[in-house]
Amino acid sequence: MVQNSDKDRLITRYLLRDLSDEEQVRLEEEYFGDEDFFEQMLVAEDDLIDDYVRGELSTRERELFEKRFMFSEKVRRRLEFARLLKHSPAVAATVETTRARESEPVKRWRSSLAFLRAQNPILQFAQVALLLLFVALALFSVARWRSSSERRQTLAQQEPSQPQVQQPGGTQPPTVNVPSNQSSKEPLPATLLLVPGSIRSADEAHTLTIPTDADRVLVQIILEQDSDRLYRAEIRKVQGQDVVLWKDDALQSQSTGSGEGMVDLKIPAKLLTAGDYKVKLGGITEDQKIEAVADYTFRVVRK
Amino acid sequence: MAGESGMMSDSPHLKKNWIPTKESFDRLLACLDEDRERAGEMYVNIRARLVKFFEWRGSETPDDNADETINRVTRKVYEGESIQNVQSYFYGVARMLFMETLKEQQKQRQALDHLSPPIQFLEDRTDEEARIACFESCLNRLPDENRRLIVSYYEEDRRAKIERRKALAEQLKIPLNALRIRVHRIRMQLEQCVTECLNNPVGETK
Repeated sequence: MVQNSDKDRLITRYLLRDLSDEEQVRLEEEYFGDEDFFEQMLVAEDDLIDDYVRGELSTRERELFEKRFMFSEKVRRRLEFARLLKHSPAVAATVETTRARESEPVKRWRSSLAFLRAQNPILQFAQVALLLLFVALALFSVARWRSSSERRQTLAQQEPSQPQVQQPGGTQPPTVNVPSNQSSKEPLPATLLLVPGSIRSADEAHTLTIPTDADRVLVQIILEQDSDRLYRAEIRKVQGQDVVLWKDDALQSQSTGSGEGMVDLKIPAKLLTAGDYKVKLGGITEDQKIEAVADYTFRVVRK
Repeated sequence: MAGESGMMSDSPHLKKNWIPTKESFDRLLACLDEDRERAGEMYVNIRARLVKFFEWRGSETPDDNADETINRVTRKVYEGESIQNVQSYFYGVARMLFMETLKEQQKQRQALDHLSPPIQFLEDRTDEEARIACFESCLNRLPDENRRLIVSYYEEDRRAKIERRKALAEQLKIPLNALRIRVHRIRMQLEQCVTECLNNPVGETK
């Protein structure tokens, strides 16, 4: 078990009933008289349960734990909870959202530049030069990607039978088959585009085919008007328990260049098993209220 | 609080089970603090510590033992005993009570050993879906900030976990210990919500 201090180690030994009577009494007197210390004990108990669930206890600690705790119904419940905290898809979804937020461009730049501090001037100059070269290359790549993307879009508009975008008033739900990763070096997210006016019933759901090797799903929602405000999106399964599987409360729209906005929902693919899902998008008002913007239903097919 | 006056009741574990009255309980509160509200808070904190004490010592009925400790202290206060350090006094009484119950508990365990095999920790898969649904529903009900915090806190394993937690504490500009306590409180709230949800599967948990 990895611990922060001798005190933590002592507490863990107490919880495993591995202390002498004298040490035990001393610790008990301390937590009866000191509220902060009592809280520290509770935290250490959480850690112990987690470490057991994660298999991070030594053989001896594990044996003591099982001897000490396994008869307690309360501890069994807490073990189940610790397992959920480790394995639940909702946790995975939150991790994904948090990571995406943490890797915002500004933060990336800030951390990339941090290494320049406290180094000799020649080295700093070389690093800045490299950095500028990297930026120039990156800008060139983006420009190329954009131009080829625009060309693809133009081609798609010229061929209305293409399934990628459900146009307003269209009659067929769009079926988006995502390319498998085999043909590209980078894993591609499975993508679904939802546009205003497209079909919303479960029977005629948009279909999102997720290849087995996809790790992310990108659901893009087109808004009739671009706006600076934040959006909240949540996804629920149509059948079964009405549980929010994924949500994000701080989404921003990007302009599509034609007055419309687009919100990207980046969802871990493992959250979406085969079946029908509802996605609800709301705009967050200045007084922090949610204003309904759009509801869609889509079907997930696993391949 | 029950009973018209200080009463004795029968208990298989304890020789004397005195039930406090409203008056005796008021005296206990007054002994904890002059301010009744603060005394109430102190009472709740002491009870929580007593429950954990009995639980950590291995009592099979920690809540009952905590209540009996409080009853005994209440009785002493009611009978006019002068108490210098109330928390130490509670601890002393709790230790005595634990020693009393230990013998009884051992006898009962020996008797049970002859009757049935020991309880084993078996993973009950039947309720797994309900547990996951409750957990996810409760997690999603947490304020965004708390949800992200608890998930980030428990995200990594071993060494990476410690580094992650240090970084989180720095990000929040609080000491690591304060972060641990903050997460513990969120966790308690979440555990409580899951327990209520499982006891009430129609989804009426608030």
